[in-house]
Amino acid sequence: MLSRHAEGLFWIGRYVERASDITRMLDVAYDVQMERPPSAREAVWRDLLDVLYINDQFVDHHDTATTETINRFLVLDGDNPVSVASSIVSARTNIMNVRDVVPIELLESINRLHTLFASGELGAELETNTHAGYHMVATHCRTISGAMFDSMARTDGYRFMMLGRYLERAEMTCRTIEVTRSVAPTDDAAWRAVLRSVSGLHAFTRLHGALAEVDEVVRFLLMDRDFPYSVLHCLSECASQLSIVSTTGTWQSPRMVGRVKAEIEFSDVPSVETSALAELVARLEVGIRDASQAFHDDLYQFGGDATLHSFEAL
Amino acid sequence: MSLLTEYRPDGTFGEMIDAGQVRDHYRLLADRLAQFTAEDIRQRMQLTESTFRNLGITFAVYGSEGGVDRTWPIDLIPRIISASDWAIIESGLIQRTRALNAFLEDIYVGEHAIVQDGVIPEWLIKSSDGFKRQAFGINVRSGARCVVAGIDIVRDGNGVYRVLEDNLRVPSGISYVIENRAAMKRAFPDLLDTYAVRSVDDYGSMLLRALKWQAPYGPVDPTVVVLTPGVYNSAYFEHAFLARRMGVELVEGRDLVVDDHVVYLRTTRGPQRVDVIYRRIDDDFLDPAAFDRHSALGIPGLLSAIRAGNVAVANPIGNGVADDKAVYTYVPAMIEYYLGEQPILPNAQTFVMWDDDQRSWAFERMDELVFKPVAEAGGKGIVIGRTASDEDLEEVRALVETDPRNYIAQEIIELSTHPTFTGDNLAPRHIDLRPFVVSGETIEVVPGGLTRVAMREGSLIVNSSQGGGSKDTWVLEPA
Repeated sequence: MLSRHAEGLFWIGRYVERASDITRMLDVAYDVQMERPPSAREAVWRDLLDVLYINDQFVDHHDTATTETINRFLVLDGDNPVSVASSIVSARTNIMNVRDVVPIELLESINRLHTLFASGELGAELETNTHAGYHMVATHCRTISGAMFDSMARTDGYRFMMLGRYLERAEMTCRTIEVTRSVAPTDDAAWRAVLRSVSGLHAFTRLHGALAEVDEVVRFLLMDRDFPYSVLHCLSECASQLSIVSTTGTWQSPRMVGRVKAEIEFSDVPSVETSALAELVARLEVGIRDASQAFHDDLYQFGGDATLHSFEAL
Repeated sequence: MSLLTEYRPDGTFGEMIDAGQVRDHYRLLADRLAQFTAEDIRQRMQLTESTFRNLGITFAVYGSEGGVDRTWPIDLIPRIISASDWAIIESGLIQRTRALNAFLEDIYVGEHAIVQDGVIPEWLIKSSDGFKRQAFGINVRSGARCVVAGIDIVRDGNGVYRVLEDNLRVPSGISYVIENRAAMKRAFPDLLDTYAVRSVDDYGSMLLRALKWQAPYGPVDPTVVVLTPGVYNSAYFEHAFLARRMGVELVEGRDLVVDDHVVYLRTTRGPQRVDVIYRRIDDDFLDPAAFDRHSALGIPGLLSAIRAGNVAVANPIGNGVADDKAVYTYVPAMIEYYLGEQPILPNAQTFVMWDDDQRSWAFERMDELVFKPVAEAGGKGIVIGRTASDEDLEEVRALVETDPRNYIAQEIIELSTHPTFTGDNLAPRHIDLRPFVVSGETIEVVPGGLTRVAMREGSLIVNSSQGGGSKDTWVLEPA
């Protein structure tokens, strides 16, 4: 497989995952803030902006965080590189660049989501029914995932796309944990919202019951082997995809992924009330980012550089 | 009321209806159209448009606002070519391509016999932009130099098919031929059913066979790639389409590297050798070391790899000399010289501006002529005397006088017209035809080709970059 194609597929995986993750977080935050007194609603949105590291940029453009300004900034604003719209545009740009190696079903599903934004249909829907608007995006994202699973041959291209998808997801879960830990470490409701934002409340409750402690939630999010959004599960996926792709034999990224995976797999999960948790999550985030960079270096170890993306932090 | 009731041809050759009579091979279509309302056609047009958009069947228009992609414009009323007409066109195209291949061989690896024998002046060849010294001595297997040719054909007022120009460098449009057919199958399955139409679907294998034929040292299974300038090129959709259809990699210059006169792909498993490059970039951008050193698209060292016989590019370097519009005037002479045959398809009446007599004659009747620069494509730089403003005419006259070698004038051909959906009814619009000819071990022609249509009433400009549309083109099976 061409290195440029591998890179493009990796980023399609990342961008589609990013769009999907942010949309789910928005949906939950929207729900949570409605149950808060009006004076406390803005804080909910601020926490979400913190997860994405873009509170500062938000302040440059908007005075207060309301459903309307958040939707404009985080969903529709094509100039905000972290918005859902930007992720979709980037996914589409990448798929156009690799359109000769992807199934038409995948191209079509991404184009359809892009049209939802470009036509203004989504903006209108968010104004009349915010929840329905998020739901539209989420449904499209699931269609795209379905196209990946159902129409792509399990060759290296698919594996690179999955690598991107799970690295992105691992990073998102880490950030969500970190922000919740810093603003509401012992707030049951806040952790339940986190579980919902990764479609994990039901799975967690079945496994651990409705009375489980907060530390149990953190352990679930970090190292449950079976839950598809846990950091360990995501990194295991990355490791197994990388273990079967054909490479030059001198790649560094499999080693980097293995290292960060071991970091979580064999550690004790510290209590939310200690600083050790913050340190663990920070080490994971650095490890994930290093693995992503190593993957890029592996692709271009024979020179050349086809970078279409910035590797800056989200 | 039927869509065709009020159809009035405008005095030029009518492809479907002439002197109030529907031509025989269009009769079934006319019967079916009689059952449709304008609303039926509108609905199917919308369906087609949204399918094209979702599938990304688009082309970029340079210089338009934001460089946006437009969905490919198709008119759903098909153009039908009878089996007997097609037999003439096909044999004419094969004949012409054989002569053009022979000419290019003669120029780049031969003795310049056509010059020695006084058929074409040497200075005309050497002064052509498309003439590349770098191509001297590069062998092409069995002399199949026009690997892919797009030869534009129009039909004049008497219904005679004439060649308007040859495109022998990187002709595009074939992907739209195939997608137009697929769109027709979705929009009007019942219409296609009524005819026995020849398929256009196996172009991918036709092209791959011809490209593998070019592998310079005959490896068992040569690696073929398609080289594109990238996603921002107006024909990028087609480049990706062809790579998909052939099952080969679509590469950009940065994906290739030359080491010790051998071309390699940069892959996740390390370098992989390439044998044949179907390039969709112009000669001047192929290799910054040999052509334009400022080009960022090319592959440094590619020319050395070609000259070393380690890789073949298709179309080969230097084909532009044969589709130069001033050299075009000599193609009928080439056919007689190399093949000893009479041309089956005549040229359009053409005047070369470097000839003093022809130039002054042309300047006296500018309103009857169309002036064209010899090396442009896509309708660029063309001035139609009849509709041009006085300033435009003055300007082109000055251009011709400064650089007569690089201009020709042609009689305005009143292109044939075809019923075309305007949104409310069917009206006559001018059309042309770009068939595709593939040279490999043999020369093959895709049945039909791209019919382009000037969507504006009376307009003769069919180029898609200038608002032209397209039609699915049906070649009928012989009865």
